[in-house]
Amino acid sequence: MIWQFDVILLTLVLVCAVISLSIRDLMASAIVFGAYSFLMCLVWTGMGAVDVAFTEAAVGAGVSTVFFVATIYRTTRQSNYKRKDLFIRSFSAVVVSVVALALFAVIADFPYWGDPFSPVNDYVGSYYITHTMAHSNVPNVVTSVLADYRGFDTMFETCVVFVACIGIYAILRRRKKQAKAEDTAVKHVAHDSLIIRVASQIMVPFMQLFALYVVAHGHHSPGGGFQGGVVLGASVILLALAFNVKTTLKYLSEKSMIAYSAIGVLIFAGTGLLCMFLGGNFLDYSVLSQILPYTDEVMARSHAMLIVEIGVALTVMSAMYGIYLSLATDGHFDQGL
Amino acid sequence: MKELLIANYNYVVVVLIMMIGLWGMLALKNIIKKCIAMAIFQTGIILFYISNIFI
Amino acid sequence: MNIIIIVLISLGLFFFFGTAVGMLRLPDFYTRSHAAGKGDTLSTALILLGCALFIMHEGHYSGASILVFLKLMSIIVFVFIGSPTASHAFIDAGYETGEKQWSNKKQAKKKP
Repeated sequence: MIWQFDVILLTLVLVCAVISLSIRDLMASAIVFGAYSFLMCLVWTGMGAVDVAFTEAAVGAGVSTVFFVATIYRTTRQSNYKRKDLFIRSFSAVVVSVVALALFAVIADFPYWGDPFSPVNDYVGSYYITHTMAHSNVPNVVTSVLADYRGFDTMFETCVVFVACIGIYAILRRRKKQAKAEDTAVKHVAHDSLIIRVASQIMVPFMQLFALYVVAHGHHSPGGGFQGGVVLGASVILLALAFNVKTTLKYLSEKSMIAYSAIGVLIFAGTGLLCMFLGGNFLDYSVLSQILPYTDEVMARSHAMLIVEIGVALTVMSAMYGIYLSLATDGHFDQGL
Repeated sequence: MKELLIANYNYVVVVLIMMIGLWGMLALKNIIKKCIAMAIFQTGIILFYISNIFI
Repeated sequence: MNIIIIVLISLGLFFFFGTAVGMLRLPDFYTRSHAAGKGDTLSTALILLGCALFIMHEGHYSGASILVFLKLMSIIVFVFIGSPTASHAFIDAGYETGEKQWSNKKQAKKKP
């Protein structure tokens, strides 16, 4: 890609990172972090990694900023700075500069940026690129590496998302109502707006349709399980923001949120166990051609990747929705942002 | 030395982003700032992976 | 056809530049968000229209390039639905929490 754009964007990214950590107002810090995320998404698009940029735009710049704003809404908006914090700031600056000097001494030995004969491009990358169509008939190398060649990592990543959702829910969920009125950082004004409600009602079905398209088309275009799951979760969060939390809980209740996140992990690990029962290794999809009708070994891998991506999308959607509900309603699950 | 810096500019930026994230996690007392610093660290590592494979 | 594409994209860039200048120089919260909401939507629509016409022209009006053109048009439709609603949302939020409007009168200075 055009290297001048990349250099300017990388410098802007550094500036945004420093500013985001040094602003004293926490809400402004979260918004600048959203801008930092968008700039990183542009950097990765410039380097050709569209899948990662898609995920970062949806997760980092979209949902993650919503999570930060929800937390800041429920706690406080200011961060205190006292004189005695200066000691630990300068001490950690010294430690970090020592580590940075050690790392700078190492990067002189790396292959230069854009080297087509570096070990990463030569051995591992070219093997995956040349063999992906022959092994599983999936043109998108990112999806085939994610779900087939490195399926174990994706399975454990899905488990991590599930554990995060369950952990936040378990810590924050409260059952009895507080007697006194809580004071929040921002004054809570509950008012209803017709424009926002109607516009969200128009957008949410299209968002969900697009998310299903992204999950199903992940074999041929940038997409896959994580991206589709995040867009699905964002559509439910949009519904919760435009209406109130009680209405959204009627559509997708708390029990079904927990159930869907567990079912997603079950689909993924269950496919692996099914392959083991049929005689192959764990997550060795080619033995599934015995039970799927009219498929040979290559197409069995392609179909099993789609099943696994559906499991990932289900878990990610429920996790996004569950974390948003736990954070925004402060555990009470009755009234949100 | 200077042309080495320009040829490996992406690694320089990766190290700087990781160090900014690490400093933020060590030095700042506010938990939300620590979480933002952790996210900055994470994007720095992903940038390292992607700029390695770039042709 | 190339001239139309160049004109569309440079108009989009011009409106984006106007949005950026407006966000920096206008005096009040309401005027700044007015500039951001309107200029953002229009310049996105113009630049995407230019890109869509370019793709269709380069693909010699084949089936695949018309599909890409339709997808980019649908992006413009959703930006037109979503972005003004978002601007309405935060201007409404600002009004409810009591942002003051800018007026042309000189502020009374306190005597030291």
